[in-house]
Amino acid sequence: MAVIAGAVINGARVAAAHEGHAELVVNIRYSNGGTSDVPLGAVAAELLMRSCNATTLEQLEGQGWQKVQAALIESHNTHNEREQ
Amino acid sequence: MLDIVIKNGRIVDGSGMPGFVGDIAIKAGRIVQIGRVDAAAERVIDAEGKIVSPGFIDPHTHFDAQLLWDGYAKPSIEHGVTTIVPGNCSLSLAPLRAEHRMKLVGMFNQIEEMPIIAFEKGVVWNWETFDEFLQRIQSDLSINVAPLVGHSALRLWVMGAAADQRAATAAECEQMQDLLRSCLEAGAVGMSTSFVDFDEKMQPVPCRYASTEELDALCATLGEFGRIVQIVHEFYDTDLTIARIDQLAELSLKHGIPTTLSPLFVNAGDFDGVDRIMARIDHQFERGARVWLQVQTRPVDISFCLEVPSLLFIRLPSWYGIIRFGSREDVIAALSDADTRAQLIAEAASMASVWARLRLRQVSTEANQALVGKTLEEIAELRGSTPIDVMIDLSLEEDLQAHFLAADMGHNDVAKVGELLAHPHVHIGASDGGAHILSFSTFGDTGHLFRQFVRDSGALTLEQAVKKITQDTALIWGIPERGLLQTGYVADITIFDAGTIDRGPEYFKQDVPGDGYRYVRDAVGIDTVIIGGAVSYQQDSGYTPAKEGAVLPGPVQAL
Repeated sequence: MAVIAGAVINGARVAAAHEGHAELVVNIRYSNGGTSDVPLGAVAAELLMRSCNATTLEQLEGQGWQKVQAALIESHNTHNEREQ
Repeated sequence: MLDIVIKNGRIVDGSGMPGFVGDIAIKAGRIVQIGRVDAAAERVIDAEGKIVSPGFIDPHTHFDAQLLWDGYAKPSIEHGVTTIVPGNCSLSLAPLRAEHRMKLVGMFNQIEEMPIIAFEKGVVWNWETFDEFLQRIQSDLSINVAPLVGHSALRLWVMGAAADQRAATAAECEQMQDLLRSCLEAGAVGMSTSFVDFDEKMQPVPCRYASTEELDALCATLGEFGRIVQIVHEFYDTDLTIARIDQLAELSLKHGIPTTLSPLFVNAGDFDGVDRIMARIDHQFERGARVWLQVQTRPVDISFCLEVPSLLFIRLPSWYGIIRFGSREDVIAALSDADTRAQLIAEAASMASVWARLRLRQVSTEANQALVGKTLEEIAELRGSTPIDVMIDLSLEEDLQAHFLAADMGHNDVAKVGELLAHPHVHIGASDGGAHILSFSTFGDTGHLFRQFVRDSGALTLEQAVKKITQDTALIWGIPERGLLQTGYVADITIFDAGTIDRGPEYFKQDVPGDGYRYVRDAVGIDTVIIGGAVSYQQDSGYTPAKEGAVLPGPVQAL
């Protein structure tokens, strides 16, 4: 658990998604030095920027991984609410 | 009397051996002689200066629905493709009970962007079993079809509403095995599944609820026939991809089956991840497993219009703020206001190279139709303006419905992608033919392979490239008597000009049932395509009425 608790955003970049849209790829760095990419769609990316009070991608660096998780969950819920 | 003789072409036979000049004789649908042919023929095709190769095989498509109204799977054949594999990513249109039709249509719509109206207008629902589906399409086939059975379709048939709720019981697993067995006996080439896709309600597709035991059981059934399993893996994550490679390797070794996963993209700045994945693939092949990684030839594009927020603008706070949070009226007002516009243009200067090469994709006014297909730089020259001004002006003129394309934004490192495509354990595929029809064109990847990676970068020789998309594909997928120019083999043949073969520009075409549109590309440099011994397409005269396409591998019995 300690490894996950210490995971932070290492950086973010705009990338071309398989479906032809732009997506935000957030790189997570774990406390053991490992890294992992997490792709976010437009809604999740916006939620992440807002929750981190970020106006630039650089300002995401150092933020905790939980904010990425929360953005993904909220964007999923947003979709479901829209469907209902 | 022979049916067809192809004279004086450079024969690149699909084996990878050097090409040679010669003739090919065809009779009763098969190749009967290769070398010098002097016997008389009903038809002689002069191929001097052209390449004569086996027909190309496209192993990752979603033509399932289109085949119900278009047995050519247009425009695949004109790109030299003679065999397609539909039913990828856990989605097939059979087996399918009547009560589940709209559920599956919803998944096709969500995952592959097939418009629902195309199903409503173009599909007569007169099948349920896999065998009935094959009979339904078989009478009208010009192209060969090697169909996969979708794991989600199997689950829906057996488990009904519970398919996207829970793991299957042991009894349900057995029923799915029996059902899969009947599909394979009817002619399926294998089974597809997915670990990433969502349905129309943004819930995981049914196959994602499967336990490892369920997948293992279904692969055991595939093993009875030596058939392939295709998966969509977590392609955005290197470590998860490696875990899936290991999982597939165990299934391959345990059941004696080939496996394939798709797609793999080369992300800028992450070559290390690609190298780690390939090292794992090599390791598993060394162990004796068959885990074929599919890589597409074409780069990934981004398309957008200013009415919908695109992350392409996330590095431009003023733009993103207006597009993301403003109403349509706010966006139009901001772009129309001289001071705001000046501020936006100043901020956009940091991405000037992106704007210049943006291409205008789609407009609704007649006045701007002539500009479609041009880059903003070209339009700026015509208008005496700048690319960013043109983007704003066109957006205002089109009520924010001017669509732009940022080409080559991903999977675009020619050297690295070329290195991958040439790798002996990489399977060229993942075209997604017939899917995403309102987002981008999935056609012409083979032309792009020859232009970009044979002619321009030299990553592959002509012979290697032909082998990759003919014999290799036929062997990996167990498609019999295809993929090679050899006496006795079925005459599926593509004749092309090695100096010009390419994909044409992307454009919007209205040819989908329900007056729908889709993005397509025309072929460049494809001269003649022969399927089952009949000329199906010629560059000069277009498609013929020939209906010699077959379902491959066709009906079989388990050993």
